Amino acid sequence: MKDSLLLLARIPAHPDSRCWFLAWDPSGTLLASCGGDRSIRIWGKEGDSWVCKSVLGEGHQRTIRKVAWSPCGSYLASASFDATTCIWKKSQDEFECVTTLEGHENEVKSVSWAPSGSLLATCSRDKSVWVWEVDEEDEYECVSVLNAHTQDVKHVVWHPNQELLASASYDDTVKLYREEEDDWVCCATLEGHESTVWSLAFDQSGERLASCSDDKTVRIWHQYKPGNEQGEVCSSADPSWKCICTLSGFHPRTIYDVAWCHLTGALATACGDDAIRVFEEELLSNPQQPTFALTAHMPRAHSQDVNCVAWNPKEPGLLASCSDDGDMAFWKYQRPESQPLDGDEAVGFGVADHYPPALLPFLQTTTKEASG
Amino acid sequence: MWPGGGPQATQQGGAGAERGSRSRQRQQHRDAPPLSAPSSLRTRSTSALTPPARRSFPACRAVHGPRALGEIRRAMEAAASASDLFDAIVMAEDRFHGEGYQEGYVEGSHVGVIEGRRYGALHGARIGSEIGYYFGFALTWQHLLHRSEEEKPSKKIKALESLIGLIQKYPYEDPTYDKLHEDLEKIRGKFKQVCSLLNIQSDFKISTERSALTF
Repeated sequence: MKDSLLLLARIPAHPDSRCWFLAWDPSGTLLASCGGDRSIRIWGKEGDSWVCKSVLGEGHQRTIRKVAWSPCGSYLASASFDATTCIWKKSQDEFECVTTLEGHENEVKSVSWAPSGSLLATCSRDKSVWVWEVDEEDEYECVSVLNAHTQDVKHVVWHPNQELLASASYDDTVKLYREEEDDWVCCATLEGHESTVWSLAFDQSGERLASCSDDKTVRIWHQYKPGNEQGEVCSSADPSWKCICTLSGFHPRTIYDVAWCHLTGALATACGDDAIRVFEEELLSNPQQPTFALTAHMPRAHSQDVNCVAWNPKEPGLLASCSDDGDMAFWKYQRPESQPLDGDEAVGFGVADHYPPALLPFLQTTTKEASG
Repeated sequence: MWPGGGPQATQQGGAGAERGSRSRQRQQHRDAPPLSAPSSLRTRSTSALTPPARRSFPACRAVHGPRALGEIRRAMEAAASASDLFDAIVMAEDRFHGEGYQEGYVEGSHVGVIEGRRYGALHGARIGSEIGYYFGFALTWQHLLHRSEEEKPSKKIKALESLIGLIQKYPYEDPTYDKLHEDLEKIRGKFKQVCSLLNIQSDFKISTERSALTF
């Protein structure tokens, strides 16, 4: 299992500071990092090494907490503790700050672009979530200010193919929003976490949402549309979301980030115990009650809290991480291979009679993980 | 102490009378009556009465000489015949406690209503003042924008109308409405959006922060 996560490179991205967040551009060739040194750095691969292509330094007065690429890849949004969000436009290798979005009362904690590229969401310690609309002239207009949370909002993320927005908060809940008659409304509240929800990630289909929390668990939520085959009751025309899996016992500290690879379905977590972990859904588990197995565990991945994990959108298994130690690291994840079971072992696992031999190696892995 | 000390003191007193004046002096310092109380009183007092240890009965304490004893004995006999009288003494604490509680409850309710009314008026006024500010702001800007551009309603106009709509729908007459705060948050959000669209930095910030602190 140790070999399933291989260190490719480690780079002091924001030396003598914290590296807060990483974002791959949609083509997977550029990586943006941001940190406590109030700068954004753009990284690209040259040969075998990662080099800093640009430093975006003049935009913010305080820590830059998160960055997000627009779906077209030509804009980068940065959320800062100085209460503003900057929009950077890329032209060749140069970035220029074209707009500064003001309105939040204090620290902006997260920013996210909708799949269409015409909507942007920001959230803040002022407990509000703002939705902005972008027109062709790069003009940003506030479409809605949502005061649904009762505490600091930590993270916002859009559904991968719908205009559905999710936010995570210090009030221990996740909330979902959709547009309704010229305004946005909170259409679902996901309750279950027992402490701050730090981050969220949709799977590739958008039917599932993973949330990670200070309560040391990851929860997987499933969307049930009205009239679903499973008979889950929806109280209104809105889909209902139900927690179908809780990953507990794997993390001894706060989980700060969760990333769902849209290519492989692997789920990576960034934890306050300095480790990175990867989980995969067990092949034969019931989709309505899935079980996830720990397939990689990298203790001391960093020397301090891991703040972020990000899967490359094009290259399966390429994972980037960053930490309070100011470093950024690149990892190669490979689903662990295992020796085929011999007959006796297969009988021991109780699978020999039921499953085709081709499945046995996988079964062996997952069964071992589940018991260990 | 009376209930426990009575019988014990009596025994000592009996012995002390023969031994001399020293023990008699000691005896006089005791709280307990020097002589044996009638057996009816003793049993009655120890069984029916379980007062806190601190309690003492002044009437009994004052008794020292044989003459007083005779009086008290007569009183005791009368009390035993009319046991209700003694009950009245014994149950006095309970009764006064109950009466005191009732009086206190009435008084407290009254004061609570006054305090609640003052609190409600204060916070109601605060919300009213905040919403009133938004309403005046929205109407003014609606007027200004309508005058300057007569064409199709812009986003600004729409947002202003939406804000005005929210303010007009707000249930000012029903403080028990369960979405009171939720709706207030919606109004605040809409106001912020309008400010953002108009590119105005609201100078109401201090007031909203104040009211945000109190809720």
